[in-house]
Amino acid sequence: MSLRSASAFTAMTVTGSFSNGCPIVQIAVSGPVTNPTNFNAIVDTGFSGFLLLPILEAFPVGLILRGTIPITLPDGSTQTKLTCMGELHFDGESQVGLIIIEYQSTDVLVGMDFLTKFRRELVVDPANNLVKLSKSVPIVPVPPPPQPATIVTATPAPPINPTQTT
Amino acid sequence: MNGNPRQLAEKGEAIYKAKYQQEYERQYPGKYAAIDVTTEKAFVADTPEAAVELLQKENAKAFFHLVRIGAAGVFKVGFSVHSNDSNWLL
Repeated sequence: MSLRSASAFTAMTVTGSFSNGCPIVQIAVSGPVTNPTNFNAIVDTGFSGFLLLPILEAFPVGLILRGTIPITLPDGSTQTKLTCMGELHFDGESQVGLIIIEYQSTDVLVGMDFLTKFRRELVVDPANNLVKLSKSVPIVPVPPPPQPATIVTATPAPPINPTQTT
Repeated sequence: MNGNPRQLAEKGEAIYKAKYQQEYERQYPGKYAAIDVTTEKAFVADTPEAAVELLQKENAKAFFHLVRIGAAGVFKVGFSVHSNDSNWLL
């Protein structure tokens, strides 16, 4: 039996779109004392973090920059970025997480930690122009089927040859 | 808090290396440490958010430097941005 019916699957799925070939979803971000501001965010599975915001987008959101954080680039080098805590709103839910502030990029990115916190699985099908974020259902481990009883037959030991010498 | 973000990050990294790195890499590999750059206290937790929350409970206005214990960076990114002014802020 399937754990999720077709109707339940549909109700828990958010459909995104593509922009310049990248999968994007609609999110909103708020600071400690501000209302949510809407963004189109690229879903970047190569980014292990929660949210990356260009600095010019961070100021209107009202984020308070209080920290620094090293991040690892694809070539193995590190760069230090400004960071802060902020609240991300998506599909009627909210999660607080660490936001990386990027000054060189103009793209808003959500990464693997976004998928983890919101418990989403991602389907990207560019050939069909389809981006889906579905609620992840915990996988219940299936116990292994019982093994058929094995019959062990004892093989009689060969008779000792009294004439055998070592 | 005096200093620009680059100086604060360097100070946080220096505090971590001098006071905590050796012990933490033995005891808490893979966890996260938020360093209060002013008091030089460190707060360790399983997630980066939890480490920062622990720090901010003690001092809500603290400037922190976050590290992942035993790793060069807290997060990985899949893009590289190169510019002549990569140290605009830091």
